[in-house]
Amino acid sequence: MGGIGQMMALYSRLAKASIRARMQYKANFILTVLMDAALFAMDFLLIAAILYRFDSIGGWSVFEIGLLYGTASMARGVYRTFGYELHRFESYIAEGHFDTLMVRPWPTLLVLLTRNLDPGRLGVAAQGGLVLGISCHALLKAGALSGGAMVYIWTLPLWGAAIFFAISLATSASAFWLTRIADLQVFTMYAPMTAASYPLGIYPASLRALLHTALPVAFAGYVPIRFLLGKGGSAFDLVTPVLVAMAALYVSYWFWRLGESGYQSTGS
Amino acid sequence: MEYLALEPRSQVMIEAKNLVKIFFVAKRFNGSFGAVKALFNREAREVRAVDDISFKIAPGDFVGYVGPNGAGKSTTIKMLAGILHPSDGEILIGGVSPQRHRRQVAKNLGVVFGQRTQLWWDLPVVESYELLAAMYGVDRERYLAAMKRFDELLGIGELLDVPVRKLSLGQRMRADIAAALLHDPPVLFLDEPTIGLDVVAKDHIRSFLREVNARGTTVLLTTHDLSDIEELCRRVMVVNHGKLVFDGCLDALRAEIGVPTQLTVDYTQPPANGETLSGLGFQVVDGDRARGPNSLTVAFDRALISASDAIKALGELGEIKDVHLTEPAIEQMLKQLY
Repeated sequence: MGGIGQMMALYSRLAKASIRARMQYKANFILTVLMDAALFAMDFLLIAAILYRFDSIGGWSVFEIGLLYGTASMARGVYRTFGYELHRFESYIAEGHFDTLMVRPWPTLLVLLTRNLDPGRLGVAAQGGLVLGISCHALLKAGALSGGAMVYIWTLPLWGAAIFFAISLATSASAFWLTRIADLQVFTMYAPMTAASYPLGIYPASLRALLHTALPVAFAGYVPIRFLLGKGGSAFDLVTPVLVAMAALYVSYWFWRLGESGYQSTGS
Repeated sequence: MEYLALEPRSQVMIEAKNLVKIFFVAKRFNGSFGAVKALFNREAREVRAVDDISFKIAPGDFVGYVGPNGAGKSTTIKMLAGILHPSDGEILIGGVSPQRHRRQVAKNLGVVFGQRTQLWWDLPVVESYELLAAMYGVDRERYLAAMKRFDELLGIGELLDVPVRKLSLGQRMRADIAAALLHDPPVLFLDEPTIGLDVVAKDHIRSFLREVNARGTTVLLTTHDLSDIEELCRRVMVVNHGKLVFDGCLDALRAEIGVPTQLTVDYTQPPANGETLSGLGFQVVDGDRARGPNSLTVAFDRALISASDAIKALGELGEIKDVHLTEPAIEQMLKQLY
């Protein structure tokens, strides 16, 4: 018990069960998917309206922003699907349900993540994929993007999802000390995930610095895409998403383990 | 299932050595800016939830762990199960520390939290069992054997297709206990397993626990319901203010506190004056005069006077029609300890 292969097998078994559980509430599931789609469409219409008026934002055209927006949305959809329970982690600490994860002979994070998955969020990822596809197509036609670059861009959502996941994991782990983290999540999750959908050059320097360091969403898309579009940076930028994702996962899991060892539980 | 590497002649399944758990509770401030003040003030009150507790539990023992609310019962169980880290002291379950080797110990533990289900809320009960079997590496043969046994003893069969959220409290507790025992762990921790249950459901669960213990499982049970202890436990540990104030068998508890046994005698006619009784070590209890002039109730210490001697002494006062012997209820005894 405990090898990576066995963990993967158990993960997939438990994850399937939680999806079955979720399907017990079909109406709610369909509603979530539709709501997400509506919100996403409104979001993008807003940018399109702004771009229609100004042509570009911070020197980025509509299709260039589409690359950022598409990769960020896909990453976000994948992260929310698999990291759904991290998002709700506050209740585990505040209500003491974390106890029940600790008595299992598996890593607590594995058991936690499988308690709930949210495949409805893959709808957001699909819509992000649509925006990304349209943008890639337009830029290819205009000669602004090579075929190789396009293939590379389609791998970015994976690393982006890993970066979002790591930030979420670290945020959730802070609940071991803070208990209540809903407000912190707005600051570390919602805001950076939204920020990653736009060229970071439009933000003040201090915010830009933050998004390149403690909340490294810049590497989920902006940094490598900026280089591919010839807007600055170096070829090294292309490996940063992988490196940052790995480092962020490593650090945030270490932080999680630290919090777990100091877990205080609640009264009976 | 691999079991813990127990020493061959080990007489200890669960060992707690000088266990201490200190919680820091933020100091509260009153007034409209109390919350803000609390945020910037690092002062914390120290609460010693468990304060230097040591004990050893032999394999196959059934131990009751009792105490008033906030005495440190749940905190102790959570430390034993590897959920909490002690502030000081050490725990060994089958010779292995649940703090250093949580997952290894967890394989060999069954844990039931009375107020918190460990089943998958939205799925039929049987799915929870299948997932737990996968989680604990229980093969098909052992799984089916366990299911058969749980059905015979706990009536689990009728619950298998019901989603957990639709179970009654009593049904859910049966399902939860079965879930904790599916992998046949050598050690079982139960935190308030009969809380909120009616008498029939309690009985059902108690007889099952007796059978589990008879198979050799070491059981540690915390409870508010002291009849659980009287019916199940060979040994009782009493905790109060984080300290172990008693550890021994029920009879020893009775002897230690010396809560008197009461004997009520109904006579055919009003008995003679019992003044001489106090010289013999009896105490006439006034409260029971309500039974009428033909009755007399005395309290005495069983350690000094046997029940037959007591009846003989009271027989001197008149012709006896009926006798009632009341052992001190465990509640009463514990009140004296707290």
